[in-house]
Amino acid sequence: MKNSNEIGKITARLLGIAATIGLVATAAAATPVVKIVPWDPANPNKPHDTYSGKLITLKGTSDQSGGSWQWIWDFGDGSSTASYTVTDKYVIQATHSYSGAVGTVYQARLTVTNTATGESADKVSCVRIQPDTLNLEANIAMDEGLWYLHKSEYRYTSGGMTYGDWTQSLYGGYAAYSIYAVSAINLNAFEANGHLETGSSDDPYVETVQRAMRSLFSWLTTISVPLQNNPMGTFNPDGNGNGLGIQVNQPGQEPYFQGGMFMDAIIASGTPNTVTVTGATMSLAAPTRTSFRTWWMPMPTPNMTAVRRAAAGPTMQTKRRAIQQACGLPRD
Amino acid sequence: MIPAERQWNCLVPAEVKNWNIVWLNYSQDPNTGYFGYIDKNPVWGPYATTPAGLLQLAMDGKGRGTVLPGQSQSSWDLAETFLCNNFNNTGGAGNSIKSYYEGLYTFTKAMLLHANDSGPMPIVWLQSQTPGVNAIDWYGDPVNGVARRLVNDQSPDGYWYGHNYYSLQFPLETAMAIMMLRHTSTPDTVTTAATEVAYNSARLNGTVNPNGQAAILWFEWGSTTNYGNATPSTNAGSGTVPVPLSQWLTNLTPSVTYHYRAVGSNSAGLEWGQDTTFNLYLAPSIINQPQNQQTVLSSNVSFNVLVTGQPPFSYQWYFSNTNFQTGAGACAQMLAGFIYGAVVTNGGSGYTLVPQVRIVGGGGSGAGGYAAVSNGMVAAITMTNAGSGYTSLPAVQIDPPNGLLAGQTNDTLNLTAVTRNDIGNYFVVVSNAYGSVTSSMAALTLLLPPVIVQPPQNANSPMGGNAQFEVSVSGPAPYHYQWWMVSGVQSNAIAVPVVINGFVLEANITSGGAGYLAVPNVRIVGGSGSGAGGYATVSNRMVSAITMTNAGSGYTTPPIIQVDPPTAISLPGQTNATLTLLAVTNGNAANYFVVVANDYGSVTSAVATLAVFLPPRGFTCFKVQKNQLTLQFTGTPNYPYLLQSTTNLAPPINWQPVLTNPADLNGNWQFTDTNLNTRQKFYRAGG
Repeated sequence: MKNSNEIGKITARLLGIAATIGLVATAAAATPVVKIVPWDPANPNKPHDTYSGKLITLKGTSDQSGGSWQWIWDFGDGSSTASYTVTDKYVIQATHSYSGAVGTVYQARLTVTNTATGESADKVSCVRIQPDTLNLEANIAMDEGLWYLHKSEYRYTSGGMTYGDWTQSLYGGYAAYSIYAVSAINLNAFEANGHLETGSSDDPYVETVQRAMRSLFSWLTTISVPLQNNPMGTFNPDGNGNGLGIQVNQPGQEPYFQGGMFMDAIIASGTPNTVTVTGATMSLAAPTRTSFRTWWMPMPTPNMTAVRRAAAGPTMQTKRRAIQQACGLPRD
Repeated sequence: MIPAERQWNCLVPAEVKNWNIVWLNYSQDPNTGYFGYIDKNPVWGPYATTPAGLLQLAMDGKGRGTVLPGQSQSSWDLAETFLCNNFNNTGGAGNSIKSYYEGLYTFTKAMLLHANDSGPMPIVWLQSQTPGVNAIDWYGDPVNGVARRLVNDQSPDGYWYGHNYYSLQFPLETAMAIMMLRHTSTPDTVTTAATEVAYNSARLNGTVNPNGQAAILWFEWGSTTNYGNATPSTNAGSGTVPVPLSQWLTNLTPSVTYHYRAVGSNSAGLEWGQDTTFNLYLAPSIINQPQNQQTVLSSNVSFNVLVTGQPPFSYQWYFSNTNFQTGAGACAQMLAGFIYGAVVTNGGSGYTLVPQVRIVGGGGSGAGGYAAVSNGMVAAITMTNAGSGYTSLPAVQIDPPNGLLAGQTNDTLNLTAVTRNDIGNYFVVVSNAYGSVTSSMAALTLLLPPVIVQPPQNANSPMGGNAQFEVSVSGPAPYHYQWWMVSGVQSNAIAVPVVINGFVLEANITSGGAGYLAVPNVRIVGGSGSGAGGYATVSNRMVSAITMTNAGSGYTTPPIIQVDPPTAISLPGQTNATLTLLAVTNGNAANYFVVVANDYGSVTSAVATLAVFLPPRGFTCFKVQKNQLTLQFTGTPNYPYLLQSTTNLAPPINWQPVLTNPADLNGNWQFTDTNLNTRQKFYRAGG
């Protein structure tokens, strides 16, 4: 056993170490991570298109925010820069109209600076002048619309996991009803434009998608799937015999209407065998720390009913094994 | 379920589709064409339920022209007619599909996912069965199409709202609008770097993502960003992933910087990739470097280089043969962290060009210098930069010598009947009026037969002992060994025929020869007859007899008997690097050699002799006179025996050689020792 003097010495040493680490950590953390929104995630250097005189939004994020953090958007066309304190690290935007000949490419630069230390980081976002066509206007509308969805995602943490949905009014409007389905279709909108859960960490929308995907899988619950009777006969949709299926868990809010959007969003992920890690599920028969999205598996002739029913197994392990069996996949 | 089935191949059970058709039959109003909510009544208006009915038909694979069981008209056509006739209605969500985004979103999906028995067929033109109603470009109509409506509906803050029964659904409407707009995007077009750039040609590259619409790609190009030229277009398909495409431009003007960009096109319009440039090469630039060659001895080998740039070109090939040329060496001189000089410690040989000099290691950086060559040697190294920060002497690396190959001045270097001296590295310097370029090194390696590193050594073995020969080789494995035995003394046997009445009745041996390890062939040749033949018998490595097996006939003049000379014999089963002979006898006393082969040839070792001798027998001594002692024994005639002596048999025994003398022709060995100046003396003799 150490005497009090020894303990005192040890404490002093630890404090000394902590002080040293603290200095290093402060210096290292001061460099911000700046990201800009790509128009085409598969070709991140591809410019955002606009037409001469159109007011568009320059879109970026940082991993730092607060009173000592300042952003500057240099529009790259010689006009005055825009700057402000980083109040929302997920939303660093400035609107601007570019003018010029078709084909002209402007390089706008977002710089985020720690005004206390002077450390900064920047990223370039390219904007190209194109002829004003309906198609271009549609592209701009999509570009601005996705930014709105990104801005208005309500981000929170629960059980150590990060989530996102659209239940709060942040930048105009929110999901008034069928809020789970709204998250699903919003997620689908990102995915349809190439912003995937498995995308590059340089893409600010990837985190938005990952949060939404986790939310989706925390909103599923089990339902019983009895025999189905109709004038054409009686059918048993229960492939594994456990009597359970999965549906969206928002009572009174059209689970079938919402479930379709869930399926669309899951399929649009393009990664059918991925396991999405979430927090506690809401009311699965045996709640676990993880849920999954292997409802539908790519296989030559899957038994969809069996797959769906397998996904409703009582425990995570039972579900996974049942799905793997139904889809002819090896156990993991 | 449609994307699940179409994208992930998840089969929707037939009972689901069949049952759904029953429902669709039940819920469609045959007079108006719209679908109802829980029966034929649309409740909240037909612009939610009717697109939903179309979407279900798409899932069931029942599209345009398909009449469902129990119906007299196509369900799809009825519903499409209703929507076409009312497409430009105005008012709220209950009156206008374009004022009700949930319905419009479902309608868009139904148009894109439309399928009948022939499979998916996206609909571009919304059609009506009503006479006088024109078809509508439902998405792209510049005034009334979905795209125009959505673009106009968007708020300045980026969202859409107010197009449903609950005006607060900002995110929902926004997501739906984005996906409706997304469906017919122009192809994502990217210009990538030109490749295979030559002095008057280049390959233009780009990628295009058709975004699901049949797309083509071409390139605009020219000497300015006005371009002015276009390549033919290439089909990019209708997929959803980038497709790499290229076009080859020829007959370009040398020394011009060219601009180009990819252009993608699908039904939604054009998209241009970014402007990119390339410079045509005037100075030589190597397209294909000479390649390493590997061959066998005496074969012909070629090295070739392919260059681009402005002709004409001149070529000079060089050879670096480390077999007979030596590289130079030098030692750095350091002071206070700086490299102020380098002393040549070995000038090397064969330097026809000034080699590169590199200062490597030592903890510092920046030091550099150049070499001076004189008489084929590196004479000096001059430092051009002392560098800094050196804490230990760096290495001075001097490139090996490179030999100019006189007369080898074409794009192809031909080497005929290559030998070991041709092993090494080859490179070529190509020049034109604008500059020169040096190719990379190409190595010539030969696949050679084995080389004997250590031949088998002579061995002596007493009668009944074991003997062993061993060979070691180098070269490409695997090796195949075969040991051979050949007599040390060889002479041909001689025989003469005995001819009586024209028949060769006998062959008399006049000399049995020597060294016959195997029975030789016997041939009866010449003479006036024919047909005579016989065989030899060998004993003690001599031909002891020839037995006639056929006397022949007609030998009025005698023939000659030819006995083949003694030959080497291969030793069955002796196919390893080591030959071991057990319990040797006089029959094993002979010469031995081994043939070692690999896939590229063989090599024969020098012979090694095995001497088999009798151990000394009857080793006795007797006094001849004072201080003289005679020692004698019997052994193998003429075999040299070694005599040793010592004065003390207490270990460690120090045997000293006295002499080596052969036994006489009778095997008697004798020696008289006159050096008897010790109190006692012990002897031993051996082979």
